[in-house]
Amino acid sequence: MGTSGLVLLGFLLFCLGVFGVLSRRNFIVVLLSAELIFAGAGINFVAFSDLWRNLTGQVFTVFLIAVAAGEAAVGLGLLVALYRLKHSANVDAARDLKG
Amino acid sequence: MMAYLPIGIFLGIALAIVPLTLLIGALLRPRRFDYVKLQPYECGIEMRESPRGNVSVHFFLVAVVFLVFDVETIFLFPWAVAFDRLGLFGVVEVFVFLALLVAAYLYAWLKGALRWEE
Amino acid sequence: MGSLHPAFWHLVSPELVLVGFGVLFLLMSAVKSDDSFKEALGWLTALGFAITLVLTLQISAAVGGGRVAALASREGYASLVMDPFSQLFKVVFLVGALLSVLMSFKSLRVNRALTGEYFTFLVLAVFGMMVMASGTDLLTLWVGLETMALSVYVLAAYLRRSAASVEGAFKYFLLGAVSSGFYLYGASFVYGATGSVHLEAIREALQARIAHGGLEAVGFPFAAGLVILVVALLFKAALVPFHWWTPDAYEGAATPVTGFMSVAPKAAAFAMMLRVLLEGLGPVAGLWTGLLSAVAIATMVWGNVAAMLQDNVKRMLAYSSIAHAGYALVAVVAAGTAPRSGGVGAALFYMGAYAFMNLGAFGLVLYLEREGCAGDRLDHFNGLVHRRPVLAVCMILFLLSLGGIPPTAGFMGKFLVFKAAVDAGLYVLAVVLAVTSVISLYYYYRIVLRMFLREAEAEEPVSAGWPLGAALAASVAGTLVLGLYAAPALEWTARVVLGGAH
Repeated sequence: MGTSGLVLLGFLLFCLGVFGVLSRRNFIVVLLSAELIFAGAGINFVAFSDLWRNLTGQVFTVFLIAVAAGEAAVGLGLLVALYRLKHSANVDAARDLKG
Repeated sequence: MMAYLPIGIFLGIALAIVPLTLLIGALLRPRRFDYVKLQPYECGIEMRESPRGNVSVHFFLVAVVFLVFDVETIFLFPWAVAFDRLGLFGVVEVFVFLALLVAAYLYAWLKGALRWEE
Repeated sequence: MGSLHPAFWHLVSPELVLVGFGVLFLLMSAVKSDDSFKEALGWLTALGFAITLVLTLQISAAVGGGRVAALASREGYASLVMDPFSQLFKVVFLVGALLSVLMSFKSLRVNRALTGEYFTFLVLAVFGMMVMASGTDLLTLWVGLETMALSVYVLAAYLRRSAASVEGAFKYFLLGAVSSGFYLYGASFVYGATGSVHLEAIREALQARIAHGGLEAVGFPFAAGLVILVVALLFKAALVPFHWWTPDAYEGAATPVTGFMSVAPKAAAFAMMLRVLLEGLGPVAGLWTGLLSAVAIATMVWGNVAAMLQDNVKRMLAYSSIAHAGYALVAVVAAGTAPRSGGVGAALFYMGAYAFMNLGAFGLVLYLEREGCAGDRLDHFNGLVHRRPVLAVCMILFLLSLGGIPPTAGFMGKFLVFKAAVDAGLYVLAVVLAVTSVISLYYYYRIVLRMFLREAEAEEPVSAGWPLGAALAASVAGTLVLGLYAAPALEWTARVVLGGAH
């Protein structure tokens, strides 16, 4: 698969992630969708790294994966805290504040 | 200003996709529910209990700790591949990294995140 | 392998001190958690920030008006630089953090939920901000951004028993995670178009391409990536239409955290935005100034109009902070349109002035806080001038400064931004800035009115302790000094240049 194919794959993952964030109500699925956006960016970086024949993109991807894990850990921690207060993992449960 | 045009088209398509797919789904899908249809399907075996049973919160803590430490090892692989060329600086750097990980591990341990029984 | 500056360890010593303190606090709070320990930890944190501030100033003096690359790639493109821009922003973060720590002592007593780790997250958040101020490649900047953001999410959720706190933090996290994804996706296209994540290299690649075929030659993937990247930065600085997490997160969080969040992460987001836009994407300023002008107008108008409708002082200050980010964005647009307009210096000065006046205002909200009552309704300010005349005068000073009335820091900041906008020929933005500032006087005046006219409530707030008093005094001093005797600060900010001028 050439660069354009990989970039297309990244674009699809990105769109899927944005779609999930906007349409899903379950917080865990929203978190998964955000991770899909990260994955789309990661695929792009690897594809462009191959295109330019330098390692910068791959280094970026390694950091991306690590930070995404940290992000997921904090997100799940917040979810547990919210669940204890509201007994629901639904985004709609978080509507006490006016937003 | 013409440089913005493709972005505009791109944005327009991206914005249109979500409402469009939701709309098509809402228009096309039939809405005939009955008791059997609303039951969860699981290979023909009848359901015995709610699939959304509670999982102990211990699993959550262990899972998060595992997730973070597991993924952090990703930084060790590039170092392992290139450590002969990185020399002393690479060794020092990786040990600083490991020291930070050990500190985090120590914290989790002291806080009792790894203790399974209360 | 890249190249380190010979004095690398000296140059990053402030950051190293912060990481050391952060890890130390983490381990200490794992074994101890009583009240006196937490108080001691607070003092240690203040000490850590003070040491970092001294080291930062020392390095700043050594660097002077120049630019030292502490860390560079093999090709010689910098990843981490010490220049007047980064050092002055670091001073703003550290001053904001120090004031927030002083304000935290009262919260330790009122909100039992604050534990020792609170200080760890505060220290690590400031560490991330300092990396954001110094970073000059998209990866370093992003790692700094995430270090800050992950710490601030936790800080915002710190009142675990309060649904408002967790819910606000949860919304903040959700939008933060998505905007991070946008940043990465945009950055990947910038990398794809230029082959590098170093801002200097991106700049050179863009200049070469424009010299070849004008702005059109930049290419669609790059332009799309750029727009997504800019949107992500707008999220982080809480600009309209990406602001709606702000009031919720600010209202729910503990008051010192709210004050901290409204000042330091915002300044850091602006530091990163200025660095990326002017240093990396300066040659294509024509692609982003239009977008940012629209955002600035929307932010100034909406922030001020929404603030008028609030009855909760914390929410009102949240919307006012959105409006202030809009004013600072005018300076960013001015810097992008005309590099000689002094926009960067104006944005920097504005962030410094805002740190003092806004933390001061939140300090007063904190002063009125009692156990089980956040002290953030407008009613709590009733008759304050009769109860505590000195504090009422302080509040009036902060509100005047937020409204942009001389002789305060807020006036000086707004004047600089206005001047930069006029010098850059952005008359529409300058007019909107002036008009919305006048509108803002209405809601600041509402608080002043209540302090004078309404009858006081019988209940007295719990004693505040002298650290909060010291924080308020420092805020007053900062607001007045930057307003009356701004010459030294202006001299420093005038030295700040970004984007190929070095």
